[in-house]
Amino acid sequence: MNYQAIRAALENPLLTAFNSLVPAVPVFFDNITAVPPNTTTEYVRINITFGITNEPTLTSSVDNARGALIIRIFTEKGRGPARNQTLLTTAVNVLENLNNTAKPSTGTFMRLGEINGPTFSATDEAPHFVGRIDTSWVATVLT
Amino acid sequence: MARRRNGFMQLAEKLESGFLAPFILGVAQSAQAVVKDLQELGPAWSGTFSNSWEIASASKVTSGSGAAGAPQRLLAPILTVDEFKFKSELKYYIANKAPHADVALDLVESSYRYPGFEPIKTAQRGNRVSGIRGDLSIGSGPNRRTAPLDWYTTYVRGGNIDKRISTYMDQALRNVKL
Repeated sequence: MNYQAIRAALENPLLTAFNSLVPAVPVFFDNITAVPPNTTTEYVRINITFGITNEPTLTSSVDNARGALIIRIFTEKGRGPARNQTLLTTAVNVLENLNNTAKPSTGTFMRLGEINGPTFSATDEAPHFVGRIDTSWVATVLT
Repeated sequence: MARRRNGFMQLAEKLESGFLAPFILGVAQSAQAVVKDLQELGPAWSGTFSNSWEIASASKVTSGSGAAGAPQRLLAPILTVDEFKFKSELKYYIANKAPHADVALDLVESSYRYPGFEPIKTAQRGNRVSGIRGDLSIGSGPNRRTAPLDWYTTYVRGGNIDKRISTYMDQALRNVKL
């Protein structure tokens, strides 16, 4: 099982999309906490979790994994949902593109499930308005 | 003639109930196992969240006590034969009725204060990054969490519910006597 290949297949296109925005929006993945506490700067938090791995299927390969992808967009509170939704759209477009990618002969073949959300929340104390989506993913490592 | 026909119908219904019973029990056991998993995986400071799960069928609901303390087992309501046969694919609805459920499920932000007593489950220490419950930078910080970030989404979307259901339905299939 190549966990890193699966993670990269999800993270790389999302990172590229948010880095391509003008101005680029910082993206933080699992185990990276570069966000200063109580910052008002907008940023994206992406968490990839693994559920079942090496699930036996009808094919000979057991290099399959399932898990969840959670994307949270933090934008400035009190400025309406527009900016947050714009950034969420960027993420959703990447996920849709991933699902439209043809199955490669080598590498990682990834398919995503339905997207849950977006849901929005904000608290009195936190400086951000948070938009959240999540989806399931199924990946097969072909090499 | 009519009496004999009624007798056949009653016999057919009894045979059907007997045949479906293992599957009905299998579905109920799956729902119970899912709630047990959620209780074990989820956060537990006082225990009220763990004891606030409920399992609902189309006609009945069983609810946790909402009490503090160790998680209590929750039994699923048993489906009737008609509910099993004719209701849609959704046989049970599992939800948590605690007022702070969305915070515990890592779905929304909140603010956190020490409640004055220690958690009933082992906690990880760290510094809170955002207002999401499990969002800690693990280390020697002052904040604590009793379940990892996104534990619920990982369980629901990572295939574990399917695994639980298939375990109990396979068991039900083995119990069918033909």
